[in-house]
Amino acid sequence: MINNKKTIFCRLLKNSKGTDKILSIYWLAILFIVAAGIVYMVVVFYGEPYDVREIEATLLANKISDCVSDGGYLKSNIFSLDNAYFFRECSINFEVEDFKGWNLDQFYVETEIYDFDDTKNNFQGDLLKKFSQGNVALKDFCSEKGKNFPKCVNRKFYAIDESNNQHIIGVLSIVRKTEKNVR
Amino acid sequence: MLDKKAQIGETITWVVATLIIVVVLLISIFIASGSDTAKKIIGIEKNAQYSRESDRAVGKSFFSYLLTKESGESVYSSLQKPPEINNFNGNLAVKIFKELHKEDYLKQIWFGINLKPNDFFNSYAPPTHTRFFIKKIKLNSKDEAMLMVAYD
Repeated sequence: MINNKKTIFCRLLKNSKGTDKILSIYWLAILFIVAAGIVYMVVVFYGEPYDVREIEATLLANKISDCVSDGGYLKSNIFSLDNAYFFRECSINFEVEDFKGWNLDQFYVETEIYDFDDTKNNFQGDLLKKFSQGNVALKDFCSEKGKNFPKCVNRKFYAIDESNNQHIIGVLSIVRKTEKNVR
Repeated sequence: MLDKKAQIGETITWVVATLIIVVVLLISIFIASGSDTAKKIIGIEKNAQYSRESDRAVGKSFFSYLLTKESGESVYSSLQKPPEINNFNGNLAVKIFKELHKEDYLKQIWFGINLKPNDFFNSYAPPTHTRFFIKKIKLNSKDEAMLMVAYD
């Protein structure tokens, strides 16, 4: 009788050892799946860079707009400024981070001041002044669509000078920096 | 017999637990991969765009418009007395806001006083499901000139 009980106990013990083994393998598999899932999520989420070039180009255009017009009026000395002095006045430089051989060629900015002419469709009369700086070659890509091309922001606004002459200001800003923003 | 029942119970528990783990994982992967639906849920935007909530170019046009003078009187002054929107300031507003800025704001751009309809911009009826921003300036204690721009 006692022997019989011993045998049943031993068998149960052996059984529970087997179940534990299966459970351990199961737990290992679940752990592996969860870990792989987390790694996949991190790679997917952070693996692709955020494309902030349009924001950068808009901020650049805003900065230029502030340089041209302030408080509703064109800057009083705007027509007497030369190109280099205008960008110095705006405190803008095109230095970029040391990355993949980038130089001063990742930006282009162009500002044009026109007479306001309401007989024309785009209200742009005579071109009175133009300032530009940066890599002019980027301008050719503005008509192209696709994430590998530079981002262009082209804005226009209305401004007057202190003698109440009306003007149209065009600001074009372009940011390349493709390697850092697109993969 | 009792042993078997216990085993079945335990197995069901683990199967359900596994299913829950897998479902939670799949949902997380779906969100992290930034599908359109997921983007709407948590606002992931890989192609970040500048928010137009306070457009610098429109703001500059607005203030220059108010400062523009005709016969020595600024648009701002003319908006303060009836008829607030006259031929000069109304037509100029149409040229600047409706036409010059139409490339940027195809949805709607409206100028007027206290949301009252006028001959140049009709009544203000914002398109449904659009976000807009307002540029406004006080004309007197009760009137405001408003520029409303639907941008998205």
